[in-house]
Amino acid sequence: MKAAGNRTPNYLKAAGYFLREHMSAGDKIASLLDEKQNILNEYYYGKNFFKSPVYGKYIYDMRNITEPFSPSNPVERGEIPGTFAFYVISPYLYASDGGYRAFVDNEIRAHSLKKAADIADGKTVYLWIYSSGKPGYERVEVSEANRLFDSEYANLKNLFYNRHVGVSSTWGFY
Amino acid sequence: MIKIMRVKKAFFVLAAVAVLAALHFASVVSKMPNKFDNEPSAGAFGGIRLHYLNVLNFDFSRGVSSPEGTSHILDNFFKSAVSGTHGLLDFAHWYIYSGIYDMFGIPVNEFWMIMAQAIVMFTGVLIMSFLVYKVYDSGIIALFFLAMSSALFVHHSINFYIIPVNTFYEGLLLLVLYYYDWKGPSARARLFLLFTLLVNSASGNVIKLPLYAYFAWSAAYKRDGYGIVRSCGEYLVKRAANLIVLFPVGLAVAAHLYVYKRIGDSNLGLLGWVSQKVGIGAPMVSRFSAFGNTISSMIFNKTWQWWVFVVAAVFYALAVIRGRRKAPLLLFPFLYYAYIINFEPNSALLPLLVLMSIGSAQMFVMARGINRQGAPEIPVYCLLHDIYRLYDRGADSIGYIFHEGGGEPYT
Repeated sequence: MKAAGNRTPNYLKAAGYFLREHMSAGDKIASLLDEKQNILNEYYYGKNFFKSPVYGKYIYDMRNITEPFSPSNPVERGEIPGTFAFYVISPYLYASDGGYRAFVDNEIRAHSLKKAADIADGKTVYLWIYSSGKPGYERVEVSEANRLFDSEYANLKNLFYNRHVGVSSTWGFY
Repeated sequence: MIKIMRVKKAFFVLAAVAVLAALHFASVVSKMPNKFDNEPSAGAFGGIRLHYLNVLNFDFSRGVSSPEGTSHILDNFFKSAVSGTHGLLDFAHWYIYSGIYDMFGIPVNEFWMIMAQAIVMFTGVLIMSFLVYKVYDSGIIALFFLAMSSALFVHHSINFYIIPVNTFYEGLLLLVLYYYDWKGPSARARLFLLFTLLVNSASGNVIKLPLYAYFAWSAAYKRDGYGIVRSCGEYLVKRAANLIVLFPVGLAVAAHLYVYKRIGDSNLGLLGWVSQKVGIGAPMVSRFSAFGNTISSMIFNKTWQWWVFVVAAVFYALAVIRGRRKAPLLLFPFLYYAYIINFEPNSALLPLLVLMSIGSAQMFVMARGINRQGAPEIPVYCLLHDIYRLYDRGADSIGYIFHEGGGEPYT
C-alpha cells in the first residue's frame, strides 16, 4: 500500500462521489482517516468536520452542525448516534496500526457493518467504505468516480451541503 | 532602421515572455497537487463557503458575536470573509475564483483552483518584471527576473497558500508607485495608490510595507535624484498631503487588530496567525534573540537562501559603491531581509528575488559601463578588479573604494 502523496490518485474524491451518490443529506459519516485527511474531506464529503473526543484519536465524524450553531460539545450531549450511516476506513492504517485494526474490527462487529465499497485504482485498494445500511457492494474505480464527481458535484449548487463547511479553516484547525 | 530594430527587440521580448509563460504553466501542471492534500487546502473551503452565506445579513439584535444569532462568524458573510489566517483577503480570492468558474460551468475543483493561483501569480510576477525593466532599463535583467521568480514561485508556492495572490497585489502596488508623481499626483493616481495600499495592507503583504517604501523611493530617485532624507523632505514634509498614504495602511492595520481582538479568539486573522507563529507582544529582547537564532541557523545550517542573499548583497554592494551616490541603499537590503525572514520565511522569497534582481541589474549596468549618454564608462571586468584589489590591498582597500576608486577609469 502506498502512502498518500502528491501523485497517488485522488481516492478521497472517489470516496466522496460514492458517499454523495448513496447517502442522504442528514447522514453522518464516521471517517476513520487521519486528521488532516478528514479536514480536507470537507470538500469531498460536502459536510463539515467535527472532531469527536469520544472516540479518541481514531474516529472523526463528519456531521452537520445543528442550526443554530451550538458552541457546546454535541458529542457530550449525546447528539451523535452510536451507529453511523457510513464508515470510511483506511486499509493502510488497518494493516500498519494494531490499535486502529482492533478499533475497526470492534466497530464492524458492534454495529453489524457491511462493506459497501472498495475505492480502488487498478490493483490497489485505497479505502474501504462500510455501511450500517444495505447499499450492496460496489467497486469504485478512482479515475471514473473522480470524473463523475467533477461533472456532477464540483459546482456551487451541489458542492457543500451546508454553509459551515470550511469553518475548520477559519480557526486554523489544521 | 531604428524602427526595425525596435520591432525586433519587442518581438524578442514578447517571444521570451511567451516561452517563460509556457514553462511556468507546464511546470505548474507537473508540480501541482492532485487533491486537497495539505494544510492550506482548507483555506480554499473558507472562500467557497462564502457563496453559501447571505451577504446582507446584519441581524445584530442578539449581540455582535452571539453564537445563536446571524451575526455570529459562522453565519455572517463579512466576518467569515475577513477571518482568514493570512489576512483580510485570504478567502476573497477563493470566493472570486470559485464564483467565476461556476458562472462559466468550469469545475470548482483542485486543478482549476490551483490554475487560478498560477495565472494570478504569473501575472503578478510579470508586472514586477516590467517594473524591473523600467527601473533598471534592462530587458535582459527583467526577463532574468521573470524566469527566476516564476520558477521559484512555482517550486515554492504551487499549493493553496495565499502567496500567489499576494504577488499580484504587490505587482499592482509597485506599478502604481512607479508612476506616482509625489510632487503633484493626479486625483486618479492618488486614488489608485490608496486603493492598492489598502489591498496590500489588508493582505499578508502588510509586513512588506518597508520594501514598498524602498521601491517608491527607488522609482522617485530615478526621476528626481533625491536621497532618502531629502525625499522625505520634498515628498512628505513640503507636500504633507502625500501623508494621506498612511490612511489606508492605518485602516487596514486597525482592521487586522479588530479581527484579532474582536471577532472570535486570538487565533483568528493575520495577527492571530502571527501570534501563533512568533508571539505578539513578546518582549523586544526575545524578538532580537529570535532574529539572532534565525540568522545563525541560516548560516550554520547553510540555508541556501542565506548564501544566495550574501552573494547578491556583495555584488550589490560593489555595484552601489561603484556608483557612490546610492550608498544609503546598502543598508536596506540587509535590514529588510532580516526583518521579513524573522516573521515569515516564505514571504522572504519575493524580496530576495527583488534584491537579487536589483543587485544583478546594478552589476550588469555597471559592468556594461553604460551611463546616461550610453557612452562606455567602465570595462566589463571592473567588479572582479574591485574584488582583486580588496584582496590585494587589505584594509586600505576599503578607503580606496569609498574615497577614490568609484569613478577611476580602468585600462
